[in-house]
Amino acid sequence: MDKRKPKDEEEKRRRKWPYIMLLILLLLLFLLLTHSCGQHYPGPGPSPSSSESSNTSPSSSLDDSGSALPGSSSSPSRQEILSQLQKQQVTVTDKVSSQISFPGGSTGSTGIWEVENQPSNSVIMQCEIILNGKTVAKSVPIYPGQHIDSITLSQPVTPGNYNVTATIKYYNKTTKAYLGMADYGIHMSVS
Amino acid sequence: MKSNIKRFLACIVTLAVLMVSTAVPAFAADTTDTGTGSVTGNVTINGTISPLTISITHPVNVAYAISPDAGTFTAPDLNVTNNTKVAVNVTVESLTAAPGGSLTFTDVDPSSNSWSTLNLADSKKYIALGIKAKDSTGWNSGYNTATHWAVNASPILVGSLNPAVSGNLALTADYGLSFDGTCTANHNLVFLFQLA
Repeated sequence: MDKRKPKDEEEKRRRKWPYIMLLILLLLLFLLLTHSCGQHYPGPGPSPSSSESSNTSPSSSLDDSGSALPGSSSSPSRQEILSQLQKQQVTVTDKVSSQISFPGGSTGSTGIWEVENQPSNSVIMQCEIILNGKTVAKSVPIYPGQHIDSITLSQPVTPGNYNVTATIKYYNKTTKAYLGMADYGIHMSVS
Repeated sequence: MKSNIKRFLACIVTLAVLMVSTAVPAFAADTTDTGTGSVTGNVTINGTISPLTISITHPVNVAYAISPDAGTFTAPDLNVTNNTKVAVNVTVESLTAAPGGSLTFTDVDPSSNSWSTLNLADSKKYIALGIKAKDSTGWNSGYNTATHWAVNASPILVGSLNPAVSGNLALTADYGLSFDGTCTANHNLVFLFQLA
């Protein structure tokens, strides 16, 4: 009986041994995990103090992925802005006859008047003759490299001599969008 | 019988000579002045003069930029070149705020606001935009040195340019600084060109 007892105890110790080893392993694993979570900071940023790391939970810590540009921010210089604005500016050369003459003042009467849209221009032109604030004639669109030598009255005008405004409206050649306009003070005679 | 034929032929010859003698002066001149002593002759000269062509090179559109941080207003010069054979007057017919941008300014007088302290809403609302001759280069004497502010509706004669001469105009502005985003705004500028 006495001899059997130590044998049983030895048998019990043998059975416990794997459990103890497993427990130690788990403990080591836990220690390893907690250590790595508290000290791993990839990237060049400074690592917080140990007291901070122990008080900060992983979800509220800095997501330090990516990198910002070095130095202070720089907006474009005034010269760079000016250069950009100059590129946006559209310049045209107009050639407008200073007189328009109609053989009659009735609607549909065709008068002699020359306007040229030079080939170097990048806009479409369309002309209107304004008399006392009212449009009395309107030209067809004039593309670069084209000209007109006549214009037709769309309103009756009493025969006489007038100072009128020839308005040239400019449109984008591709989009046909309105760009701007210029006025020319010219003389109009209606016989 | 023979004498009749001779008379008939003589008549024809006489008529022919008369016709030639009367026809020649008609081709040679309108009138023949005759008299004794000094003789005066009048000659009418008919001329046909074609209208002059006005030719100007000018900008169609102008862009400007406001940098609130730097407190700067930047706009390129507006170069006007007279290609006409004679001098041409350059007038600013109108300068007005226009729709089409992300905001449409209201043109005001530059003295109407304390610009540096303008709040967000008013910065986006008001501007005092003006145009004037940049310097004397190209402009004939007597050119206008005053600024034409957009708030003033009446046209202003800037000056005259001689043939093959360019003159510059420049935009100027008073504006607020409180902008919380990139904004765009448009103005319409209309020139009037006419023979000086």
